[in-house]
Amino acid sequence: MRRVCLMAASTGLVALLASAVCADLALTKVWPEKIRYVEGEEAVFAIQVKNTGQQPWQGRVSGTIESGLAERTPVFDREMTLAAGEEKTLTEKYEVHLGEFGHALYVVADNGQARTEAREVFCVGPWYYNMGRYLTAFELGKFRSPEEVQAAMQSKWRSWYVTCHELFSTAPGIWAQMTPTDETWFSGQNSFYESLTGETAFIEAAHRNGMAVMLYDITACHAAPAEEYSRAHPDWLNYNDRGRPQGAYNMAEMERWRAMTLEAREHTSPVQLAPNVASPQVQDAHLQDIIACSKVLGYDGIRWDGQLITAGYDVFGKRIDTDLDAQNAAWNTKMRRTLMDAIPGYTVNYNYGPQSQGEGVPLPQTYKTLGPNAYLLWESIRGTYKDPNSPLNVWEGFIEGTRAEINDYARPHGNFQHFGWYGMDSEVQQNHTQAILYALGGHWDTWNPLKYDAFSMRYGEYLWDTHLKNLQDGSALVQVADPQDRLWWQQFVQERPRAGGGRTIVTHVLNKPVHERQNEFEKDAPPLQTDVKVTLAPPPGAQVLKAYVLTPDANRAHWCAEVTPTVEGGKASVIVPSVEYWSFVVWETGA
Amino acid sequence: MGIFLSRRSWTAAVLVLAATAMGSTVWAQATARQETEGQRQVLVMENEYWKLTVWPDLGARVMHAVYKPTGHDWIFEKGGLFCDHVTQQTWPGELMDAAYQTQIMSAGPEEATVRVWRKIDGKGDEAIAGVVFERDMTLKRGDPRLHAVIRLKNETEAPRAPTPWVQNMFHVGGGKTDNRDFRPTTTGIQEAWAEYTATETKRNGEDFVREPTAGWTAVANTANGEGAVFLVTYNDLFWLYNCIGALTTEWWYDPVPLAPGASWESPVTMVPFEGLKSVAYADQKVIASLDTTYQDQKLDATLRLLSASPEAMPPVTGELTLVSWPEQKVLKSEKFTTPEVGAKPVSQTFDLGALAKTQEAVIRVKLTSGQYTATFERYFDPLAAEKAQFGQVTSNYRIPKPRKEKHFELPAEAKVERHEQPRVLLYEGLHTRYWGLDYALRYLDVDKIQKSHHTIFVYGDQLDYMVGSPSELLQYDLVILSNVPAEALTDVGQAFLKLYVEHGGSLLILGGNAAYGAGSYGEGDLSSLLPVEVGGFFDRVEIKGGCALAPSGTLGESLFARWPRGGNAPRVYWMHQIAGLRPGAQVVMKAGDRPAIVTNQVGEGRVAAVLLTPWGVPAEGQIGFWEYRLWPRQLAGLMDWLQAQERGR
Repeated sequence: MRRVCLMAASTGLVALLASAVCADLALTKVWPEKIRYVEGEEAVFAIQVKNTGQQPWQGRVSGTIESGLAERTPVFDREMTLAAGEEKTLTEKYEVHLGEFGHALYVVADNGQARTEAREVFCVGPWYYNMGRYLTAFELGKFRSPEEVQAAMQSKWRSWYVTCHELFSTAPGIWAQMTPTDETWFSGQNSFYESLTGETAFIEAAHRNGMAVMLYDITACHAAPAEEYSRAHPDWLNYNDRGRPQGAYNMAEMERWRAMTLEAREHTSPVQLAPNVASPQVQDAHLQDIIACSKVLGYDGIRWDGQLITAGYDVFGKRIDTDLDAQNAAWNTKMRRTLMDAIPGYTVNYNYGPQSQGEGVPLPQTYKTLGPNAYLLWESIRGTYKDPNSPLNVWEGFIEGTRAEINDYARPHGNFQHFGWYGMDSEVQQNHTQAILYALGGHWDTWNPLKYDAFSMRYGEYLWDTHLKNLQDGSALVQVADPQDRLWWQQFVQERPRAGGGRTIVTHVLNKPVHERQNEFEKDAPPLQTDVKVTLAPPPGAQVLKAYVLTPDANRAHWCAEVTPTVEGGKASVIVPSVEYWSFVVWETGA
Repeated sequence: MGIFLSRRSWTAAVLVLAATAMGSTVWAQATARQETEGQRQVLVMENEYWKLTVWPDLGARVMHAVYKPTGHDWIFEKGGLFCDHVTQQTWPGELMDAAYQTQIMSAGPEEATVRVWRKIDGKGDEAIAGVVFERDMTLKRGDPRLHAVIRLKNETEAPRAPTPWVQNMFHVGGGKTDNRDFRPTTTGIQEAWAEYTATETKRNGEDFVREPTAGWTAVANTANGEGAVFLVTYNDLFWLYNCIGALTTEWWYDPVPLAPGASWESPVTMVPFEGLKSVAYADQKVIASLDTTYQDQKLDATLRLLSASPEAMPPVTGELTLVSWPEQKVLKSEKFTTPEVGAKPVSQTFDLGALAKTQEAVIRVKLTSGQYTATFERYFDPLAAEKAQFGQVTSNYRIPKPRKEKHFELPAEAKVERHEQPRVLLYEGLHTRYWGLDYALRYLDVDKIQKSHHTIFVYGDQLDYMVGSPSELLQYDLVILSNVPAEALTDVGQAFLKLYVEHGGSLLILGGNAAYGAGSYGEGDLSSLLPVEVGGFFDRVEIKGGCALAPSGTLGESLFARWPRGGNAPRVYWMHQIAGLRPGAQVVMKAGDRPAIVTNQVGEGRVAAVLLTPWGVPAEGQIGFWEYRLWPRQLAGLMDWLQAQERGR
């Protein structure tokens, strides 16, 4: 009997090794050397096949790139002979000419008697934080070489499908000093142990993996560099109405910080002073510091953790905030232009108070100056979603709040909305959270692997493309049979024009949580929903050309299936076989 | 004259309410007892007004507070009355959920008192480690008030300076809605409240009251008039606070300097009330509300009074006056006499006549009853609601913050102890390390440098070391105040410092961004020690290109005899701009025409005010004074002079 080994849902190499093994033949490695490629780049794919049986094996090993919903691109087809117990590696090169977003390298080893197959996901495109996970790291002083970093990090990077890394709080004084001047240092914020060797090694290793690395920066001067900054340039600080520098400091901590050793370390931030960001001198000095730091260490961009001009006074008591929105818009424009002019390809990204929630100062003009193609972090959500008084604590409110921020503020300017940093103990809540955020077009930054990491990279085109438009009321176009009111879908209907005419319509169907409110210790998974009928009323003059059901909860061999709709009264219907947490239908319509 | 309406006397109210609530008079007496609640051993205190349950294992907080007249339990889940904290620890701190020791001091029937206490670990924090935080809570027969005493005991052999903080998490009137906080501040009675909807909590007002003007804070249910006033000792009070939306009523005390073996205590009285939907004034005798209505440009004010104690107050005479603001011209004044003031409010509405929409005003109330007098006022802006809508600052109304009376004394013959190797107390603020103090103090061959580090964070200014008494401060030959604000010293520290200098102490003051104007040196006891009049909060001046420093006067020429002269002399780039010199001041160094270092004599002691800052970047070829290699030596000379008088020099 012909034996077929299908690779089960896998989130990386370890799972792949465990699952792609037949009794006597195994694909022990299917490995795009990078997680992300850019158009025209030469990709290198490593494939390892092992004969685990007692007899020689001879057959063909072929590789195909799977793209979109049903596209296939043959890459290689090799004859291979393996002695009993032998393992061989194929190294295949391929010049990338693939569409933006996710793809999979699908490999089959077959000799007519035994067949094994496996696939691994990668992505293509310039915007690294829009195609996979975004992680953060610090405490890099321990690394001595890119190889050391790779050994320590690669498993996580690849199994979590990470395309972008941030180095959090690694600068000596943050705003007060971004560029290191010594081989090793303790960062001013949180006292992480950092080194020139370690940071450059980390960034080099990330680049080898196709990732980008962001420099973290916050509008506060820290630790000893802050003392010197504020001493040398008292006119560069923001003061309160009583003439005191805005911020906080603890001189006892500062004294201990100066004498600190790696063995006896406190993770403190002994000084945090607010700079006067409204001052052109302050702006120029800091931008030059960022440029120097990025060039020295190799950063690809910056993620500002609050760079706003804020209310306050200059050193002589003159108000620095005249029109905060206009001032911040001008500052953002200058910042982007200066950094992007100085370092080709550099990106500028932000942490902003969600405008849809009325958090912080309203910044309509400023928002127009962000991006396009910028990462926007909504960080406060990690506290508010737990607050029983917050509308975000109720799942329905969570959907409305996050949806409004993406639809009204991120996507209209071509930007990518991230939510984070937060995680929870409950896998149930985690799955719901990821499904909701991703189905709305958002990203989630957290510290642990998530269920839909591989899936979302592979089908990112249907989640994260900023050309997708989330319809205000999806029910005008789509209906989902839901007699028990167990499903969310009205808020999750997205569409975009198709090349050559027609539209792509995505109808997400989410299985509602058992409880109305979020609970980070949730144990109750929702009951499985089966055979859900989804009906599309195509726009006038259009018809459904193709329809696909995507099932993120399935194993990766069954993520996507083309289905034939039944058409009745001009409406097309498909049956979604199951909704554990999240499934969706992609309709392609045209004349 | 107005006519007050009294609904019921206090005595009658007590009898009726007790009977209604309990159906018998079995709890007319006060009791305290141990009980079991689930798996937990608890303490229950009870009288005809209250049933209070204390959970010793959870910070000895009052976790149920059933107010019998209405049947409402004021404590919500995870709330509690009397959550103990010290501000050296950020919330929740080590005390809030810690197991306490307890003792029933009195089980009744006249008084029921429970004592709870715990020693603070402090994790090595010298300000608090080993201090015992103790609290007595008492219910009395026939008394609706909860009487508490907050007590700190230093059972260590070193001085401590904890800053106690009391937090109450509760609601009045049967639920969280309609609870509103009232706090007396320099900008009038500040209100704070939250509006709860199914989807959001809208917060109104400010959480912090950094300038309280009286020792009370209140919460009232604006729908049904149930509420409570906490009466605390203003002299001990630092800030008031309400976490809006989280239903807390909190206050922080001034730091409490505790010499080894010393203790401190401060009473708190929680007075429940019914029938007031706001609070404009409170003391141990009276709780008052003063509400206004403004319609068709006519103003009415309604004054309500009730007794804050079980005893009814004899009829009160008084006067209510409307004055214009800021001109303070009397617009209308009316005298009144109330009936006896008991547990239920007596009230009167005053027709204050026409008031133009653009006319801000203040309503002032004076109360007299026998020896008792009280005055309070309420600011009124007819356009406040309209202005608030457009986000405008509505007023410049401000009343002075009453000065606290911190009484510390030293015997007249007390003197600073002088040591062959001086002992120095250094209040260390930002930029201290640039002054070269380490080297300067080496020149003085100091025996001991006791540092007190300045911290500024969400709870304001703090120091991590304070001496426990004025006499302890006399053991220091020299005190250096290096860019540390008066707020960090607090009234207590300033009072100690004043006594220290007057009894022969030596004080060196260094400039910086938390010194002089920005350090509030122009106020309080510290001000009286200065040789200069302090400028405003932004008293700094930049001297472009710097200015060479030069000795001034006979004393200056003597102190800085080796200072380089002329344009190549070390420079200053930023310094403090003073409002003037005080009588007796001697300028010993100048930057051009500006006084740079000024000294004076205060009592038996000496003070040097260094108006320089080590700020700026000298141009090539220039040198900042703080960089000058002999600066530490010059500074040491100044320090030596400060101590010289007591050394017979």
